[in-house]
Amino acid sequence: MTPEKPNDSRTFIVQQIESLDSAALANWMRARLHNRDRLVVTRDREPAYYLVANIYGFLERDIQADLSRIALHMLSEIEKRTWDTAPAAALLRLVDPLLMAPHHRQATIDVLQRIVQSRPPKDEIAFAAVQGLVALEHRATPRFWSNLLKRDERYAPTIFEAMARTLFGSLQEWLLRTLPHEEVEKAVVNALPFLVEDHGGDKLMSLLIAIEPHLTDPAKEQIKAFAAREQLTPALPSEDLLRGHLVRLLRCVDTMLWSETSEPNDETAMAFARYALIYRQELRRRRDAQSVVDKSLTSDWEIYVGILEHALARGDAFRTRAQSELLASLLQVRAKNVVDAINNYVQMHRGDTPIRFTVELRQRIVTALLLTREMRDVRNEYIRSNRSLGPGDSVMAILRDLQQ
Amino acid sequence: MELRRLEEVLSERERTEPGITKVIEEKLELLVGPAAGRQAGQNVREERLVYKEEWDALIDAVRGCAEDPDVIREVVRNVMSVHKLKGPLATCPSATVFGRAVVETDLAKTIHGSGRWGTLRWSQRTITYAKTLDNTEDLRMWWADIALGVYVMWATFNTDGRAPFEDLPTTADGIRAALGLSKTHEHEPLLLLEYTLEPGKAIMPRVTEAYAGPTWTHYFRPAGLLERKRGYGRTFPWDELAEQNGAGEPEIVHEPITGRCLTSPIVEKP
Repeated sequence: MTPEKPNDSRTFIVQQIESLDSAALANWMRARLHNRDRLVVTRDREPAYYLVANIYGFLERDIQADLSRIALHMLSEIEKRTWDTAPAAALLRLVDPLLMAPHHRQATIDVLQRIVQSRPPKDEIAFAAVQGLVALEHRATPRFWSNLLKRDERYAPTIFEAMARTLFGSLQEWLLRTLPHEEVEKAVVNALPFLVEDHGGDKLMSLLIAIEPHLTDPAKEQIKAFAAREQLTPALPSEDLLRGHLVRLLRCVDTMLWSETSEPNDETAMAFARYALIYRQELRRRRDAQSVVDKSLTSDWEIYVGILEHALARGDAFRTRAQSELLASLLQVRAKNVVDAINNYVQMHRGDTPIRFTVELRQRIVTALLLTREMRDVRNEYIRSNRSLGPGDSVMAILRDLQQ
Repeated sequence: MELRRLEEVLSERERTEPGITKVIEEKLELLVGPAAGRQAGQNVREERLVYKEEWDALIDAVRGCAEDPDVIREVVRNVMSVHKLKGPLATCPSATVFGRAVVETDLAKTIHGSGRWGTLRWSQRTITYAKTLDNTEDLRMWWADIALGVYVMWATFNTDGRAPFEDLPTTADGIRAALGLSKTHEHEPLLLLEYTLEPGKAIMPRVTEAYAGPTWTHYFRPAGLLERKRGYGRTFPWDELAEQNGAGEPEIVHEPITGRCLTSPIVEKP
């Protein structure tokens, strides 16, 4: 019995495929994905669809276009549930390179969305369809991605990539809402090199500073090792960025208050909104006046705390809401991040300036934001410690200390 | 449990199930059509490292299936995938470093297929970055959860305790030919991965592993007497190399591993 000879040199395979007419090409593709390919015999032990991706770039344009059309048609068959899981997932993982052409993009996204919506998220076909959406840089909302993650944590790296590539501006918010989450954390760590390449070290460090309190120690160690290996220097947020944090923080609290208010004329919410408006007007006024950086930041923060104190003084309604899980987390975590960022900024830009400013503010935050006594003590201990930070210090060292 | 040949098990069952041998032989004969199927049928008949219970499961499944080569392949694949990696342990010293040579684009597809990233591009970038890590600990930490294979991983090693690729040719195509890898990527660089396995994880390759996955490789042969005595299989080198190294390189199979098992930085061999 003479065994078939493998004919797996790429040139030979390409010639074979290019000799097929459209119908034969579709049959071959279908057979290949179903592991029934009798045309191409290879030594491969890898999944059969790898070969399609491997030769696609070497095919003539007409044949590429034919294969793309065939793939799109097959996606509609998958939508109608006429394909088994393995070949369907294989085809979906061929969206790149087969369906990346701009003229196929929207049609592909449409069918992928329908596949995702019509299947349970743990289904391998749904998972591969989501990967296809990410490959096409589909700009779904953060809520779309979060819902997938809630239903199956296997989506974590895929969703993280989607957010980082298409919604980087919302990534920090999303991470703050999502962490701690073991799989998302792994995705963050694994993606660090790409985030540096795509967004620069400064933006990455700013992101890490913000999410650091929610990371586990092993992840922090990995990030620290990465920062050291890549010689990433501390990158502090700009004054504008910090002020932006404050504005966003206010807006969040404002929104939260309104969203939790059942009465249309709730006094606390209205009062807070009024104070928030005053704050924003004050910011605008001082921006116009081009006031000194550090001083304006300091007073910004004081105004912010003042607003909260005023709102708190309005009575139990706000206090009750502030103690609700979501709002308390918002007030504590977000405020802490902003304070940390301001503190770093002030220290780095003013050298040995005493940081009594921060002590006072933190004490006021403890009162105003209902932080626990333990947290206050830890904070004060950190502030009291006599550390000297210079431009050569790793941001991660600062982060680690802040976290303790 | 006893290791048997298919014909031995069939002959025993023939006593209580007259005609069973003919049914199974006819079904296996139908595999001649599909690519690598003829070799598969032949290998199944020659294999001696499969347990009686595994043959029984295969016989029962094949006997009842339709007389369609594609269906038979699917049935064989299903049975094999249940019993894969349950064969006799391979004989290798506990500190053996195993080697796997893989094309970067295929490794990227493996990472993508495992769900690590949404896109092939990011999977590829994962590899690009890993190649820059010349400290093994960094690499192990970075790739702790990165899958390096699917279904079953096939690996080579050096029987004299040296690094797995030390005595192999020095070029990517030379290594490809010695290990019997696909020619689809001929002239492309290979990534050489070196890793250790926990004791008891290196298994003798059998038809069970060769036909458990979606792709049935043409280039597999069951362990002969010599291989069984040595305790490991042999790769199936390219014909061009057969005269120099017809025996092939030592080969074992094991469960897919992650980058946590790597023992050296990744080497890219042009």
